[in-house]
Amino acid sequence: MKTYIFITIIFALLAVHITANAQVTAAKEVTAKAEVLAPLKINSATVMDFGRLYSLADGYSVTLVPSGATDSRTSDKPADVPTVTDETIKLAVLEIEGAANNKYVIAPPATSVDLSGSNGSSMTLGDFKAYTTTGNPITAATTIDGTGKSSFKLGATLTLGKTQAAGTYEGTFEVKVTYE
Amino acid sequence: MKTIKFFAIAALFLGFSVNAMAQTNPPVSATASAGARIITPLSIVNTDEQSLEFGNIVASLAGGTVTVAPGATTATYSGVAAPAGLEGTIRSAKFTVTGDGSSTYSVLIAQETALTSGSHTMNLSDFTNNSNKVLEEGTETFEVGATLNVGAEQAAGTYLGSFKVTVAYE
Repeated sequence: MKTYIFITIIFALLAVHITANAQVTAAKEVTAKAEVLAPLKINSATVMDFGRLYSLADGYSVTLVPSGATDSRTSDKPADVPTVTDETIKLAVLEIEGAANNKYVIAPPATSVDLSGSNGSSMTLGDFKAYTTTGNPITAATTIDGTGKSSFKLGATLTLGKTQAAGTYEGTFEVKVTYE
Repeated sequence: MKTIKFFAIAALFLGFSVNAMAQTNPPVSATASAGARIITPLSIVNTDEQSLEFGNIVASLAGGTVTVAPGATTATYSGVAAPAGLEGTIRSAKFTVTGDGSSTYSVLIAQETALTSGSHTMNLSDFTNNSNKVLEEGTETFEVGATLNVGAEQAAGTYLGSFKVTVAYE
């Protein structure tokens, strides 16, 4: 809304200015052009879910990565992390709304956040990375489609401590998007 | 003079407008959440070292089978029999699984294993178990039975063997 107000004022003053000018010199038509973009919005974000992980004597880290359109997780100690099947392993999916065919850049959290457990313990979540919904790393600006929509995935690395206390852990993080 | 004045005002406002434009492209942020569930690895123990036992069996010319069901203390005989009144100890093997809360898990038992007595062997096969495959408050106890395949004129002796039970979270 702020954008609209300011732009209206500019136009009004430009118009006045041209008229005044015409009183002393030859009139010249000036074209003023401005493009007003619909504000970028992040419409929804789904929960990033690491699923179930084993508490082990040694600490380890688990990274959520897309493999194609599906999501999976990798560990720095794969032999120690047996497969727990029927898991809900998901990268976060963020849905963007903005001006069709414009580009935006994604700023995942630059610092780590804590996931807090129902048991009072915590784990560190960091190294956030953005991916396309088809699983490719996003390294440049993303183009909003013709209907004004776009979405992307976010993965991250979770670090488990030694014999991490069993329980459910949750935390939040902030993602920013900006028109390029 | 009037013109100059208007110019000045216009320029001033244009200046503001540039600032305003710059402010209209701030980052838009959203909060997303992340979650994980840490669980204790599954473990399984042979409860009270209760092993699978078939008791005493009398060999026969044609051989046969002896089956012990999970939780049973008697056996089902086919082709062979127990000496009357001297069946011996018959029981299924007992296991306790411990792990996370009310997780579901799978049970995997070898298809077949051999019991040996010196150079003689008998095959143990068709393992069955009475596990619900769901932990209750982090634990479940179940029993495992099997069928013993007694050969024709099976040599007398005490036959021993072992089998492996594997559990995994589902």
